[in-house]
Amino acid sequence: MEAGILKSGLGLFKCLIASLLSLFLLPEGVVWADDLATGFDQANKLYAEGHYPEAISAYQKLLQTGKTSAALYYNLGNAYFKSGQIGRAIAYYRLTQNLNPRDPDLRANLQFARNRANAGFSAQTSRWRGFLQGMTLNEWTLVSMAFGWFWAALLTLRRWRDSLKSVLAGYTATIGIAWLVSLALLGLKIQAEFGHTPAVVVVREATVRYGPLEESRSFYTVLEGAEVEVVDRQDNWLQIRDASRRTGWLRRDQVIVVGSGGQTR
Amino acid sequence: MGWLVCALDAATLTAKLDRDIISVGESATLSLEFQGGSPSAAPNLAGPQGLAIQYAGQSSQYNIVNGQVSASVSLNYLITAQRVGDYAIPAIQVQVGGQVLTSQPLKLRVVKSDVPTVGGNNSSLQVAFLKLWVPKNEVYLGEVLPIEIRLYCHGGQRAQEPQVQPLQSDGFTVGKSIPPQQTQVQFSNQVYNLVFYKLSVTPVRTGKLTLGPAEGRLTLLIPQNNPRPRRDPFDLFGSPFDPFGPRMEARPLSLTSEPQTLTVLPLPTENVPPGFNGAVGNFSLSAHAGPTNVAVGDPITVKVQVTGRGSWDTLTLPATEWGQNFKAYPPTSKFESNDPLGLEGTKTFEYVITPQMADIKAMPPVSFSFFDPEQKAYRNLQPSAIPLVVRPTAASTMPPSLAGNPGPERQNAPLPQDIINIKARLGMVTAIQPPLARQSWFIALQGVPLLTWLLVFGWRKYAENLSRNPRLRRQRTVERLIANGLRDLRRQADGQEAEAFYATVFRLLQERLGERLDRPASSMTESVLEEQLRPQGVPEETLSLLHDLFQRCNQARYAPMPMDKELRQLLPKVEAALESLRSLKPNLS
Repeated sequence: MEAGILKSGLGLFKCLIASLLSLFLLPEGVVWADDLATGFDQANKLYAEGHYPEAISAYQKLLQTGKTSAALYYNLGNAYFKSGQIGRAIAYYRLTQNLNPRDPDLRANLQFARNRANAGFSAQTSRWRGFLQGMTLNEWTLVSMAFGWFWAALLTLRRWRDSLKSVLAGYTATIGIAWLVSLALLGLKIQAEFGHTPAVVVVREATVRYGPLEESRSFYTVLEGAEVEVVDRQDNWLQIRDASRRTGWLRRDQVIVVGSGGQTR
Repeated sequence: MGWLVCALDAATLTAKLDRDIISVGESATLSLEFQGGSPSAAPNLAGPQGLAIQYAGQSSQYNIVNGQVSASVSLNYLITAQRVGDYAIPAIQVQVGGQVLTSQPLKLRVVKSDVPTVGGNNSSLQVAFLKLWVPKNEVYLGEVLPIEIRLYCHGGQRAQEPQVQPLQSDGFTVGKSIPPQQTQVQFSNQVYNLVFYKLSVTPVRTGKLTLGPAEGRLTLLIPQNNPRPRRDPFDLFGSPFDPFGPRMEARPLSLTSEPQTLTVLPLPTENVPPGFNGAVGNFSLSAHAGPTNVAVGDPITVKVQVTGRGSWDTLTLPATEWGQNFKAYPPTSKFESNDPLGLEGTKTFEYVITPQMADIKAMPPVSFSFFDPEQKAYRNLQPSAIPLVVRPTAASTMPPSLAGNPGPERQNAPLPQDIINIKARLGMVTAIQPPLARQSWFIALQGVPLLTWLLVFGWRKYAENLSRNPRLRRQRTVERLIANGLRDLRRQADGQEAEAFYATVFRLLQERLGERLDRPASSMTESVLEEQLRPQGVPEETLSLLHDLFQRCNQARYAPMPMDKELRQLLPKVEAALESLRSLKPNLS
């Protein structure tokens, strides 16, 4: 009898997880997708015809609805690249990365754009960081949540039926450890995402100054496509840190912030 | 101002000129500063033809720094220029103790004098005048020009508070200036006190530009009656408040110099080097890199130093074509000057580059082009390429333009020439919003499993408590029975089911009495009322009610009546009886 309860309990839990994943990962409004798909196809047609500025406008119009997708950001990045706006191309590729980091086409195009920009980006990243970047923040969150809920369900089952305690002991321990590990990884991912606010320079040349004023003395110049980190904000200025760890101030309209959640300027 | 040092053991000799450009007839002071020792006598100096050198005296200085006392002795010589020209003051050898100290030669430039003739009709011009001095009247666009504003005052005239106004400089940018210096000069046996202000200007447009005029002022001290000669011949600007001198009247005097017209020439448009970005002056270039034996991806620091004289603020190196073989970060720059005006110095540019390939043999050459106004020609400097040894790493076998872990077929694929095409399908659509981990509803949702577990935990606790307490369990069961029984009674009363009604009443009374008295329900009869309840002090009213109910039930059982219209009226009595039994304290025996 206990085996039957266990089997039904696990089956129920699987359904629960599948539902959660569907609820959070699938389109939040299937209705919206149809509206966007039409506009998306029209923008793609403009791109295919070589009308890149018009394609950019069409893609941006879709973004103004408040919805997006990895393909939308990706195509917008391509359109900017074709228009010669390498900085914006890199920015939108980075935004695509937030939604779909494992897309090999995206990784190839991003690297290509970085090579084209030659703004001093270092492709070296720690293996650890690369592992964390393999999934989006939402995916890490849901994995951790799934382990947590599964573990809670096992504990609840064991509490409900004493006869299940010994049967579920091993599973409970394993899932509990998996949950703790996933929670730690989620913490690292959150720290990586929110502890660093990346941005991309989108103007040809931007002067980094010592202070957040036009009158402040110039420090150095960054080129279009340079990927920097935002450390502070003040009015229309952002304090940034570049790959050489130099800190200075840039005007907000000279960069696009590409943090998690599809944030843009 | 030039100075150079020759050190030998503890004694040092420093030779310096207070001015390195003077006019004909003017004087500059050559100082030989000794530290750690001094000569027994001032050496006789013989300058080149055109310069008259005269010993002017000696001065000493003591410094105490962190308790350490150091003394220096300066021998001063007045060098008067007699002819225009560029002079080299040769190295000076001086014996100090048993050692011979030798200085390096110095340079002095003598230019044409533009001092007005003393003794002219304008008496104020004799007393004091202002001159704007420029080294030359033809310069190139962007060439830095050191100039001087010179305020002369006749040596016999006492004056104070000399000052000059900011220079009118339309078409020029004014660079650094240094605090005014003071000296004495001699023209045609007349001694003048000179206060000179050094600064630099850079023309920013071509054509004939006017610099100045310079404006200044000072306060003349005019003696009122029988002026006595100054007590101290070297008291250049005395005080009117000398109690032993004559009464002085302070008379302010404004001075204006002649403006200087400069012809600013455009830079030649022929033979302009490809990397020229506007530097004008005279420079040299050196480049260093380290480490030079690295693995692919390791950083190399490249330092490029530009040394010389010119305009430094806008001096930048042209962008180096690093190509695909290197990744380079934007350079940092630092300027160090050994010149008070900031005209001479060294600007160091520091790059960090990382080689991307293993077969790199040398760094791309760094070049720098500038226009030399002295030679009136462009010059291009390119030091020899710095050799590098770049070792491969495991990652360096991958083509740099492909990230991630490409499949085996991609490792041999040629480098891409364009980006991969767009996506045809929109794919999964999401709202542009903060991630789940930042949404409060999602965080609150994580409380659901905890809540569920707590509920189950609470329920189990309740069940366990119940299982350990059979009296409580019976009590709960009886309560449920009585609740259900009362519902049945209402139904039976409505249906006039007298037999069933009384049977239910009897059963409910038995259950309640059995639970209260901790006896089997089936053993509960009317006799229990007298045997058990009365001794416990149950009120008489309750006992009477219970007796009545029991008798009715017995009567219904043994002498049933087909219809009983009192069933509905009996229901409240049954409820009252059961309620009064509930309040009975349970028998704990």
